[in-house]
Amino acid sequence: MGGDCLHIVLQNPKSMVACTCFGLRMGDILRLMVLNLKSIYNIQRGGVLVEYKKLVDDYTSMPGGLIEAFHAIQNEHGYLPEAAINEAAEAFKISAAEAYGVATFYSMFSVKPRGKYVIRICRSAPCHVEGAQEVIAALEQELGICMGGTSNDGLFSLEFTECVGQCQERPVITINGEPYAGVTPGDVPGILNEIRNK
Amino acid sequence: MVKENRVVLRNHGELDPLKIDEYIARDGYNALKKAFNMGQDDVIEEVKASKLRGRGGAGFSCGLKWLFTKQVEADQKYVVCNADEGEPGTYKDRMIMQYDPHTLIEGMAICGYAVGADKGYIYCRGEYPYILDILNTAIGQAAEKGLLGDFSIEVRYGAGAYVCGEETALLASLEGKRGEPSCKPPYPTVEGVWKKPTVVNNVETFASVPSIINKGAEWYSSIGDPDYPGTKILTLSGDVNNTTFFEVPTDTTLREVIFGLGGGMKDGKAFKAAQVGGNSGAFVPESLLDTPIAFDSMESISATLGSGAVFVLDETRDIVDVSCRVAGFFVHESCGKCAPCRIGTTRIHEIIERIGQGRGNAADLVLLKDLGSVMAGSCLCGLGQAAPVPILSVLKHFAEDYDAAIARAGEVC
Repeated sequence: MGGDCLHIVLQNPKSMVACTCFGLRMGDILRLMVLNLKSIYNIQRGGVLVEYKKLVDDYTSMPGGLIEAFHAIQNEHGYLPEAAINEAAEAFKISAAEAYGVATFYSMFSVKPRGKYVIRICRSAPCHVEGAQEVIAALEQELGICMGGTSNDGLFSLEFTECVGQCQERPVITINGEPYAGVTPGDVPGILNEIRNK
Repeated sequence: MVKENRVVLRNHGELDPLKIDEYIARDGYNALKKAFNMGQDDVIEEVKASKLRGRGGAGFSCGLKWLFTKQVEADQKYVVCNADEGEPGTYKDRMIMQYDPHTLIEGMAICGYAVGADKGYIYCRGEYPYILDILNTAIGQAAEKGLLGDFSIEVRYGAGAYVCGEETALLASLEGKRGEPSCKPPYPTVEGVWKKPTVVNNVETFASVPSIINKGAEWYSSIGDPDYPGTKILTLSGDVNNTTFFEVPTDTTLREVIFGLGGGMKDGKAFKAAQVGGNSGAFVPESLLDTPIAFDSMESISATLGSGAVFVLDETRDIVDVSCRVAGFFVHESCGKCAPCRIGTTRIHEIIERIGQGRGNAADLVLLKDLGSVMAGSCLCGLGQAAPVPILSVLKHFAEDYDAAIARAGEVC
């Protein structure tokens, strides 16, 4: 989505208005442009492509290893860059469309850049009735971003998730996969500071 | 007063999951050794006689599944553990894998021997990254000690897709594809991963097997309900005092679970409803709480035991709001392959949202029921077929809540 919008914007600056209608704000679009220009620059250097290939090659001998390869790429880069998906498609001898189809099927994979720390908030019914919405409001306020957004310092992204299986205490959030159960809005500043000080 | 009976969780909190010697000291891997001596057919016969039925939600006979897989002629067979538990309010499989991984590994190895498969996969959901090291360490230890014979296990890691709990979708994901379900037959027992005969069982099912082999089918089948014997791990959430997990015989009633082990309702409030079996389960009213949790008794009240999640709501909860969120879950998790599910889940959510916002009318309730029955009969897989279950159950048991929301809409106009 982000990448698609970027191409449209590059070809026709007026379309930026249309992109904002898709829920992307001007800030997001500009940030995407900067990030993509950076990756285009890297690709021209060839360094990143070699790196993607190296990550992917560890899994090509594993039957059905594409998802494992995507995990490896995302662990390293925080998301699945388009060039990496293409590289994986080639290595696994499938079409780019097929690889992209896998990348976008699973909710934990992202095809757009995200913050260094991805905070996912469970909104399944058990967390929903015990104040997930208040925790979301606290996170949004503390970080100055909306759900789906990334903080200006590039540190945090906020995403929804469904149940993460830590329902002994609710509501639950995860930060880069690590669960925090029984979170209250009052806990939010402390949790964020703990991460910032890492 | 109902008591826990820890069969699957017999080692919970009693050992260090990363120390295989502690598992061995507690009778660990004896069942596997015993199985090797029994021979393949007798192992399958024992599991069949125990009447162990799948703990993942479908309740199919475990022994029959193993028998069907063994009977197929093939150069390669597989054992796949479904560790993609995604039903909201459920974390039983995590408890097993995190605190007693060897029980699962031993159960899978017994299955591998019985059906003639030398390769196993554990498909673990992506939301449990901290389980991977535990599983891999435990597998490595068992292999190093030569306990598994020629059986090997590889852990694969999902990436966030509830539908992959459906076995054909899980196998597609294991093959590195989009986790979309496919039509059955052929069943995985005949044509599973990479088109080879495959046993797919839930974590809790495999983890039940070592005790069955050790103590015998007769012992196991005498526990709980005669048609769905054994124990079931339940995870409680919502407005009860003890929101934790329990392993109980299958003839335990919902009332005993909620008001006995669960410690009753929080803050002295009255009970309103319990959603049993996860997001795809029915909401059960107070009048049906004396139903045992066993598969068939739950089915007789149009509910399911499912994953064993018990989500309890008190009198102050807004059923329309909760069912709206439940419907929203399926919008997010529908894989989109078949139209009745892709469109149906979206429309159900849209209608309930409208009712909740005070913009509904009586015709919406008829529409919800129609849509629910069409989806139950036409969706490709269990996800879409079960998606209307919670909604139809609230329309049946809590119709007054919906009527009240619609009446409010009348006032607004």
